[in-house]
Amino acid sequence: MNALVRAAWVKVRADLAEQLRYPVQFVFGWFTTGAVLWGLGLAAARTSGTEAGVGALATYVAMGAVSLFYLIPRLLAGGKDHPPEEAMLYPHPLARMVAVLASVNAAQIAVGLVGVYFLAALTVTRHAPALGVVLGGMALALLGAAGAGFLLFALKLVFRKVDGLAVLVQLGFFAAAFTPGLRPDWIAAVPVAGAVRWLREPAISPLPVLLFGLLWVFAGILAVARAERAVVARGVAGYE
Amino acid sequence: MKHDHWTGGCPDPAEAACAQDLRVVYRPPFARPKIALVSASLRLKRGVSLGVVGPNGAGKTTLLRVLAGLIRPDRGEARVLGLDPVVHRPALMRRVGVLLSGARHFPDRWNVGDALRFVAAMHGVPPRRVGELMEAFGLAGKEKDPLSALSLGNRQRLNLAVVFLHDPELILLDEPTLALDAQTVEAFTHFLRERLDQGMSAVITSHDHAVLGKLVDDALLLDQGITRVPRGPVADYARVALVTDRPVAFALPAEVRAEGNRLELPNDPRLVVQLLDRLDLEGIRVMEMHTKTGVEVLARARTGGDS
Repeated sequence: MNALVRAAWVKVRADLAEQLRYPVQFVFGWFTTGAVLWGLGLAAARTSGTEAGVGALATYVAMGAVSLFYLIPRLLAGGKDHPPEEAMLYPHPLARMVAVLASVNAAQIAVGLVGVYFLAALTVTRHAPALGVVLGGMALALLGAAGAGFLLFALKLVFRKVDGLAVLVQLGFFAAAFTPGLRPDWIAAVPVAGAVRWLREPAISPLPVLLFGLLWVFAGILAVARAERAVVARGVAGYE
Repeated sequence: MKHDHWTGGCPDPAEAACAQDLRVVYRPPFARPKIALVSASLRLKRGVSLGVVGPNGAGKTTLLRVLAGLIRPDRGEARVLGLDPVVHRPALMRRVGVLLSGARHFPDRWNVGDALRFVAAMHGVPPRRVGELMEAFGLAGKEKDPLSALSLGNRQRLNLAVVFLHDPELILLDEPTLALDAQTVEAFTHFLRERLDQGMSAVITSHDHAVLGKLVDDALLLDQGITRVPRGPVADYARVALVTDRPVAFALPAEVRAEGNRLELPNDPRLVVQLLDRLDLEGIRVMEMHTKTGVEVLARARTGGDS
């Protein structure tokens, strides 16, 4: 496990170093992200009838979760669509490796987006948002999205091309999170949407969202382990 | 490598690798199954390097994938360093270095040092090892070079360095010399020989049979998914080829094959000297002369030997 965490840290540093090679892009990339998400958040708040600050925070949280969902299937492939067999040449079970690297990625996303949200909120509203709510919402959303991401990773292992499905699921996350009037009891079970609902109604216990998030993660990890066995049995680890 | 034990199971846990009568069928979802190996066997002692040669699509990479635990064979048995490669793949990967299809992939935005440090961390190898490997593979001074800017040759040096980072007991190399210049191939041969002398074992496939001949102690042929074992040590297949200024008119020893002004004979120094003396006596000039490694000859024969 230590080796995996160290490797994940190397990956974080390498990614950060690459971003810092282009400082203008780095700074203005985050600036643009912050501004766009705040604007989208305001629009979402207006359409869904929630308070502006909450709407903005919900957008940041949803974007962070969807980004993680998008990144997980690409964690071990360097962003390219080459066969997954190389990931299986490391001395770790695939599911554990994906879980650790995804956790570090989630932390990276959380730090980045929470930081930007904090600065944006300070700039626009002139007061600091409640850090517990921001971090809690982000953590809940990332948990559910990670589980769904692991499921997508498992599908990608076996079927190789799943981008269309991934896009549809991402749209579904946003739709479930921001469609006005969509307040069924089961929303806590829906990744991202459960966390966004809690942000809107923090008086409700976050426990169901947390439990369903953990369930998603558990199901996702199981699926990755099962998919790993399937690709070995079918001989398709190196299948293009 | 001995040639008296190519059949039977894989009972000896001290062997570096053993595969017995492997049959592998690829079963991609929603596509027709494809038979990749029909009956493949090999046995590899520790400290020995084995070349696997054969035409495109013969199943060479598949055989390496089975040994790396990436494919469960339909039939047959495989053992690598005494372990079932599928069941014990993570444990095995601590002890085995693998290069498949001649490449390892990393994010292009990374630099050489990032890629090596990532793999080193994955294997729990101290970071100082990265510097040693960069030195050994001619990558010193390129630590900060982005992967996207590397030449094919340097990219291949990196691929090879990655394989050796954790000091493996066995390496499985598929096309390791792709895009390498002659000097680098020479350096890599030297590096590999040193490791083999220290007890490392290797299974290597390559279409560059001349280079492969320098890298391996023995070889087997894989053709249409079936391994064929040479009738004797692969070194015995080595040949010397000559081109003379005119066809030879005198009676040649039985081992020498003549076709017009081209002669080919076993790489036996006494026989070569005998032939050269006779050519000199007859006033025949040698226009060209070169050696062919046993691997080259074996690969050319394709169907020679016992299956």
